[in-house]
Amino acid sequence: MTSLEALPQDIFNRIALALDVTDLAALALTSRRLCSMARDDELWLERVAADFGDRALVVSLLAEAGVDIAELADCSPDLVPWRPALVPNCRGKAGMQCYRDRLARAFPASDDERLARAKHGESEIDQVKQLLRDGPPADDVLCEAAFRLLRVQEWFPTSAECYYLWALICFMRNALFPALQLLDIGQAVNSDFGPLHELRAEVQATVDGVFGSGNETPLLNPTCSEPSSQLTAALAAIFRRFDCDRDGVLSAKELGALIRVTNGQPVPPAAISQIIHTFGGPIQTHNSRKVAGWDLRSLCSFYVAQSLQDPQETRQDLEKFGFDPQSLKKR
Amino acid sequence: MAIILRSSNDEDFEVSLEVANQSILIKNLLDDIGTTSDPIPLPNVNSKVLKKVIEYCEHHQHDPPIIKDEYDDVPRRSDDIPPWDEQFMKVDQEMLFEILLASNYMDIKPLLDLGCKTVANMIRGKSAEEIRTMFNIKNDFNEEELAQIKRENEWAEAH
Repeated sequence: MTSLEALPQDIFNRIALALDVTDLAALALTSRRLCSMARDDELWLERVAADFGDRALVVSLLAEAGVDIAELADCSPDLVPWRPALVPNCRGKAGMQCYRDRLARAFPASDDERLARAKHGESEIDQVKQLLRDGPPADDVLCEAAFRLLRVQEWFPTSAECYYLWALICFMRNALFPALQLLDIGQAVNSDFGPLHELRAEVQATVDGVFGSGNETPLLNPTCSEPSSQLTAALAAIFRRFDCDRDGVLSAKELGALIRVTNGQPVPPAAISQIIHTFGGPIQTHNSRKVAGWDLRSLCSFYVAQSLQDPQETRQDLEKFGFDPQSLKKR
Repeated sequence: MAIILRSSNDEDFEVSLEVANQSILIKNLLDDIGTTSDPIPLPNVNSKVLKKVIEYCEHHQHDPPIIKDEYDDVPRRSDDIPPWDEQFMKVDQEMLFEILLASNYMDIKPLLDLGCKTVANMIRGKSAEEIRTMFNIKNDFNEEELAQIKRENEWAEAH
């Protein structure tokens, strides 16, 4: 005989998520079986995510962008324990405790505390903006910024600005898809927050340029860390063409010839030297000499950086080297 | 192209591919093995329940596909049930829970959501005693346990 008590926990959780916490409290009083079902950790964590924001998702999207704040979030005394494993002395009710803690943060008991928190949150946001103002800062600063936002979001779960700034951090790290996902959440929280729309347009334009529209071949792999296989093949062919002595390294002279094709005019030696050291350096050649120059990896990383800045320029360069700017195939 | 679904008690039901494909379980199976005239066994679903599930899928076979929204995966509202669906769900409790299990097993998300909303609506706003009566639940707590749970519930009532 099938009954409410005999439902598997995952189906019960779907039902419970459509109920109020008072309904769950009533369910817990009906029988031992329903009490344990109504206090399931997974259920309460899903409720936390739905009501106060999915912290685990935010942390994992930031990690995709190389901004790893999982440990900071786990160990911070400022954040309430957010995973059952972090809740002390709460056998069987840890998920519910997580929810209670987040509820207490989102709805402070007194107006005074709410006011103080709002002030503090604003100043935290200002500091984060300060950290991000001059372009991508160092890794540890980005982590610090992302983590501060986590502290603000805990008190203000309905602040779309936190999601906007997290998305901006991902965008700075060229993590385009995590950025878009964070913008989605931000818009679900508050669709009226203007900066979300502006940033989305910017990220989307980069995505369209990098991954091509219509029948254009993508320039980069989905994580934007490497050129796409088609661009890699084209770059390898270009590399071979300019590596006249076949030693696996583009020397200053060889690189100068390559850049001359894209720029249409000779490049001063000082500029070449600077470009060499930004993406390459002293590199061992096939015949075991050290030469200051670029190997194929350097050429690839240059084009990853340029494609994220200005995808159309990469396509134009390829055209100058005799490739089709859309398909990236040799003409 | 007709697909044959076989219930746990070995009764065969012929449905169209569109109807069968609403079950992601069956859709994935057909994608893997290709459409087949062999009966597809559903060992967890009896004839009575399968008939009801097919009725739902036939009614909804022309619905536009749901666009997956990751941030709204679980229904938080349950006051938006269309009239046909509401009528369809007017069944005894045994059948209601059987439909939940079958739609979960056959992976028919709209039907699973409909069932969950229906049960949520039956629970909402009721006291523990009213829920017990509604679902025929036996109170197996002693006084001490009840008092303890009431204490632990206070925060939720205060909210």
